Amino acid sequence: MDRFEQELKDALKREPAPEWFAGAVMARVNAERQRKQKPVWSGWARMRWVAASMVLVAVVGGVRFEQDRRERVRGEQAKQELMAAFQVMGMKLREVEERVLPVIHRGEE
Amino acid sequence: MVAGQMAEVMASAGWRTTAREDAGFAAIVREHQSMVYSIAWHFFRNRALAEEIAQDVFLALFKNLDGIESPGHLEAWLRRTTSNRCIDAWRKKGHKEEIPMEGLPEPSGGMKMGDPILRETLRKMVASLPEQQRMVMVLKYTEDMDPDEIAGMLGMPVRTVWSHLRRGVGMLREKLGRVMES
Amino acid sequence: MRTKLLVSLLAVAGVMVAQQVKLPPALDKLASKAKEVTTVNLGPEMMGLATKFMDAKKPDEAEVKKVASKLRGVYVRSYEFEKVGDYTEADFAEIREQMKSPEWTNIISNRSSKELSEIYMHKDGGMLILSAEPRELTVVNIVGNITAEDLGGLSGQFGVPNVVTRERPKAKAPAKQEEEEE
Repeated sequence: MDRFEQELKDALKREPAPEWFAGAVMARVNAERQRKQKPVWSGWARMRWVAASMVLVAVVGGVRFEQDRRERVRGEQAKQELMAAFQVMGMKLREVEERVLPVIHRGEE
Repeated sequence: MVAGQMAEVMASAGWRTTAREDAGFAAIVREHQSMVYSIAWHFFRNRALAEEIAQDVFLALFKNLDGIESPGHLEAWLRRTTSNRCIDAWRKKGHKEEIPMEGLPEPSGGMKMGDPILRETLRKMVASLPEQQRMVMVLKYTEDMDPDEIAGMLGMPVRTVWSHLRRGVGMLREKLGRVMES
Repeated sequence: MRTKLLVSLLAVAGVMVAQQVKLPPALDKLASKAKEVTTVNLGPEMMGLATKFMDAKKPDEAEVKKVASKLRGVYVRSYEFEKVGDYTEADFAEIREQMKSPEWTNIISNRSSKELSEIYMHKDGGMLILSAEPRELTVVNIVGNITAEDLGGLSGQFGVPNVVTRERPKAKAPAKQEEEEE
């Protein structure tokens, strides 16, 4: 390396960065950290959320449908039991009437 | 002190975890900020642009910590990223008129070796070289890299690096000679 | 305001509980001896479900829905036996014991050496029918605010006669005891 090249090397030697440089970098790094913590709504992340939401809706819908179906079955069963109860009640009241009416008529006479 | 902190960060088993923490990454920045900033500064001779690019490089490092394998790799990664970003930014800006060069006006003779004015003149002359040749000169004389390393870093043949260096130095020598004579 | 509402709800719940007759375990044990068994256990929830699935637009369901919506429970035990003596009066004595409460009024009681028919009305509108024949025993407990008019609404579809309407009690009175000639 001749004298000119040495002069060139001295001219181009490293220079210190400004005092505040590291602080500025850390501020941007911290901003980046916070940005990363927020949910990312792009690309695959969005697709995953959409897919997960669809699965959730399907599961909830399926569960709701099954609950409705079971309720309908129980409701129909309860309805049939109620009809049967009224049949028994009607029949027994008729029997009572048949037994009581002659007695009442006798009393009226 | 800073180098000591940096060595501690890199020596620790979970250095990436440490590097992701404020203190750890700040130590890395302080250790390498002069190198990153100087490459950009000598390339552009514009402080605002040099600071912006240097900050961008460290932010990129933070995002790519997983890809860094060793302290040596870290230094090489910073040099390569800084060099590429400088060249890309220069090409994006198009003409150098858009990037005002800072410093003293070109002197008109009466200089001798070791003169601060002569050194400033040399810096400005380097900054006016074509971008690839300029970066080769900066890496050679600022970072003391040999042509093989520069070729590997910039992705160009070693002969091209040699050629850039010979012509660059020759051109500067000639230009400076003319200035000193005048 | 909320306290008043709570007190009202508790009062209603208390009335419903009072109307619901405690069917003795001995009664359910008769099921194993019976050749035909009818058991209905419709509490408030099932009554709600039953009425929910009744169509008010269908003529045969509209009146039943109207009556059923006033009820909070319907409980039936009806057993038909192979031979006489498969059950005794002791099996339903506990029910008759409950009917001695001042809240219940015996509006019809018809007894012969072979048969017993009793109808009780609760002061708040509930009803109990007890029918004991040599080879058949039936207990029907209606819980809710049912009126004679409501029962009249069921006359068409279920053949409910006007026997209850005719014998609606005004106050607690001694039951009519009629001995039929054999």
